Amino acid sequence: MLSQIWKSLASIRLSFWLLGVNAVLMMVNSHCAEHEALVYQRLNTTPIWQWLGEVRGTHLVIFLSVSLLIVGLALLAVNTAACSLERLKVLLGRPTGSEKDWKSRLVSWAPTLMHLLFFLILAGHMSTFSLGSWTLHRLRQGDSLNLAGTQYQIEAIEGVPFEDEGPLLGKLKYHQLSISQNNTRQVISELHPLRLKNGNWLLFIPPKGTAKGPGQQIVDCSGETRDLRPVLMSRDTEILLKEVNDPGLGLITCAFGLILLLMGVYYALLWTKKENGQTILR
Amino acid sequence: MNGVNLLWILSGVTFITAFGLRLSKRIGLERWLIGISVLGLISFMFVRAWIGDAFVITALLDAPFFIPLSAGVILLFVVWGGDGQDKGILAVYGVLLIFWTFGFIYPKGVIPPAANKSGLFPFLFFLFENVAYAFFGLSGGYAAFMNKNKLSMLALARRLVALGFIFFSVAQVLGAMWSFLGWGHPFMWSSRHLGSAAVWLMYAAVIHIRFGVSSKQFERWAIVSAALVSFYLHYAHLLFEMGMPRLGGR
Repeated sequence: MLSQIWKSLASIRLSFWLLGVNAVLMMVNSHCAEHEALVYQRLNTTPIWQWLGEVRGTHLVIFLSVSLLIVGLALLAVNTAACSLERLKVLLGRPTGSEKDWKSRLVSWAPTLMHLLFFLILAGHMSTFSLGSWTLHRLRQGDSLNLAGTQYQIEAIEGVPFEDEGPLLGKLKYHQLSISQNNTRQVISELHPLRLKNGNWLLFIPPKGTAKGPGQQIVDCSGETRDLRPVLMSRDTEILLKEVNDPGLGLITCAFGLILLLMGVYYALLWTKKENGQTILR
Repeated sequence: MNGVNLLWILSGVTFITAFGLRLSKRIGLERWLIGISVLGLISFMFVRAWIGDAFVITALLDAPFFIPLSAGVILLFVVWGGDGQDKGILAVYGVLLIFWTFGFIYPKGVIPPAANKSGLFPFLFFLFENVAYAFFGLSGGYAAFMNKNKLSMLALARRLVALGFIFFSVAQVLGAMWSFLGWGHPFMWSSRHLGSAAVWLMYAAVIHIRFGVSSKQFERWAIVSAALVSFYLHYAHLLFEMGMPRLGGR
């Protein structure tokens, strides 16, 4: 009975169907997120169980589609683990020297290693959501700010034109937050966060439809407005700075890098390896 | 915009002529015409990106134009390598011409670059993503019309899918880095991220079919369906973008 369950769990046919079903569920959620962007946006910084509790009563379809997606992905993780273990048994059980050269060994091992690396990504995401933190700071010119135990002064919040002359003048700006400490000046702008020992500090893009009270004009750093008219900024403008501590990032980056490397090497070897004059990638 | 439109039309006419040569089995000249057409598309991209005194680098990778260009380059490699000597290759031309037609209808003006969409990571992300979609589209077209009595021909569709999957995976990693720098999360619960994850999972499923999941016939139709779904997801967004304000007019 148990061996039958294990056999079903380690089946590649199950992998195919789980990948397919999860793809459909991702599509459903993508469609829902298009219409309820703010509901999904909260999930980026809220623990998933808490978020599910919140949306259960208000957005039943979203609650169901995200819950099913979590179950689907969990099953896929179990299936991947079972398949990888079965494959490992086969690979380790082979007599030494059964493969002619390192290329054949790499072709045999690469897919299993790629699948195992997904667990590193999973571990990375779990560390992110259990140990990570995101804090928002609302700032104006002249404010002081404590970054990783050091006191900084907000020198300027500016909208800098993309170019000094030409057709884009006055139509496009990027934002620059200048901070200083002991005469050392640092600049934070879009896609250029400040990296300190304890985390990353980046300009935050306020969600679409964020309420703006009188005297609380928040800078929209998204650039999504794509307005062809000049953008004006005043000294009273507030900018949001996001403090990010993500301990899972290293694991995720490392695992993805290795997966891509293995994937590239695997397919390159399959292409160049010939049997009867034809590539074995048939 | 007239000169830009003319370059686009000339490239299309050259592709159609190459297609005609394929039908009359004059393969030698066909390769050169595809090459000329690709050069025409590259010239189009550069002329279009040059607006007044400014060169908007992000305009080089706009999907409605960059996907047909990538598809043209891939077709050139396929034809040069002597692959796809069956009617499936005619469908590859068909897909390319569909891409080309969409580019023809799509406004030629440039959407102003946004601060969070300019820089190395967004540039590389769009480069890899669009090339991946070109591979996916061509694989779908080829699989749909390939000679069904010669399923060994599926090898070309598989290679196109595999290459598309590699490019798409690289795009996802670059996109995660971009997302972290811009928004503070490598993955976000947003429509765009979830849609990309759906496409990645779908092609991961397609790649697994050849390991004994089902028949080659099933695999063939899975490749076709995956291409259709991924294009629905990608091109729906482009339709929405058609109404955006543009530099250089429509």
